[in-house]
Amino acid sequence: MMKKKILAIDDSAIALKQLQNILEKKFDFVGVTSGLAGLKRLDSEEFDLVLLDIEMPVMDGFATLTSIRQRENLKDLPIIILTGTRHKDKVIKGITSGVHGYVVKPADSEQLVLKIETALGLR
Amino acid sequence: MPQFLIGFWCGFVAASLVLCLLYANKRRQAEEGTGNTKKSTEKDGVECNTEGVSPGFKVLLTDDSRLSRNVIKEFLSGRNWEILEAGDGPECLRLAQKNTFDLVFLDQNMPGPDGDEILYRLWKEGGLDKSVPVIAVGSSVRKENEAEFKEKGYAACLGKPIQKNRLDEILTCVIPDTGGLREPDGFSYAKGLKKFDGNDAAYRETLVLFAELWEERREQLRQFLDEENMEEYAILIHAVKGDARTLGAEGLGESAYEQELKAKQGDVQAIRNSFERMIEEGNVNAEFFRTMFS
Repeated sequence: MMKKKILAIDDSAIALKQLQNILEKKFDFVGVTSGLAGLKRLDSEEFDLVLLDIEMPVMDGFATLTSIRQRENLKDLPIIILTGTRHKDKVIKGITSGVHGYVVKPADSEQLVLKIETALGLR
Repeated sequence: MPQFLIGFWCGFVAASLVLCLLYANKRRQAEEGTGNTKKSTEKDGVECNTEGVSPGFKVLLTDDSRLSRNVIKEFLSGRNWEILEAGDGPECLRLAQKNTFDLVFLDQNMPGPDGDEILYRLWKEGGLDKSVPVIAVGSSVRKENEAEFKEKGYAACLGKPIQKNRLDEILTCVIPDTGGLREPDGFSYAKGLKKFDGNDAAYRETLVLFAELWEERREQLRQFLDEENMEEYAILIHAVKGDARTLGAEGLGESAYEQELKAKQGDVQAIRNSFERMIEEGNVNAEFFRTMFS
């Protein structure tokens, strides 16, 4: 079976490295460090799921989310947002904006994989 | 000699003999390092090796054999770690409840509860974080069975008689080679490694990346503060906070979080008040990562 392809958008190269370490065994992992770079990849490649950091400079997670959803072919693309523990308001905003779930940073590997597999319908 | 004097003298000798025997027994117990010992009453029932130790790394050594404990202590002596000893499971649990350990040695064949039960209770009752490496020690412990021990939650296993090269090999795997340097306050290698699923190479690589990024981030933060650009400051310090927490540098993460809150409130003065302290914390962490893991 082909590995599912995941795009992680996070301005922190360190967070991306951690995500890559957790996910690359099970998934085809691509990481980019800005919302704009993420949109560019989504316009040129097919992904099965997006992990999206909320607090990023220039184009934050919500602006990126809105741009993704504005694309007809990406309306149903599973998106999981990455957030800090103390940002419950952002989690609520994310959920009401049509994301499939959220993961508290720094991501716990088991929880992250479980949420991704659930969002992808693998569980 | 009057009869009553002979009786008195015999009684006195017998009582002295009993007292001597009691004292000898007590002294033997103290030398064995178990029981209610003289040394153990000095600090929470524990014999403490505190001479020249690094306060940053604490080891719990549990074994009913004083000889085995001494061998391990001898092999660890160059590392400047603080070592607390327990002669049985209950004492081990009691120490775990009162201290935060970075490494635990757990003998598998002590009287009373077995190693697995003690391990379980260390997590459940002792408050031992599961990320803290626990090394199973025992005469029936074999290196080839390490996978079984790992499944139970041990970090490694160490057979008896204890060989120094095997112990060093284990320590290289389960804890970073700090070469006697202490970890910065608020940083835990074990906790950070857990975030990387135990992948030591990936974790170390990322620690070095943090150190490389730190200098540039530090200058950017300073610039945003000088310009009183709290929006950009908040975003960057948010990234520092997240990265620090990811890497197990929770002290720096907490300082960055406080700064993030202040930046979001636009409280420039409050940030200025604690800025240099936070930067110094970052410097110490970055320097440690660069020195130890490059």
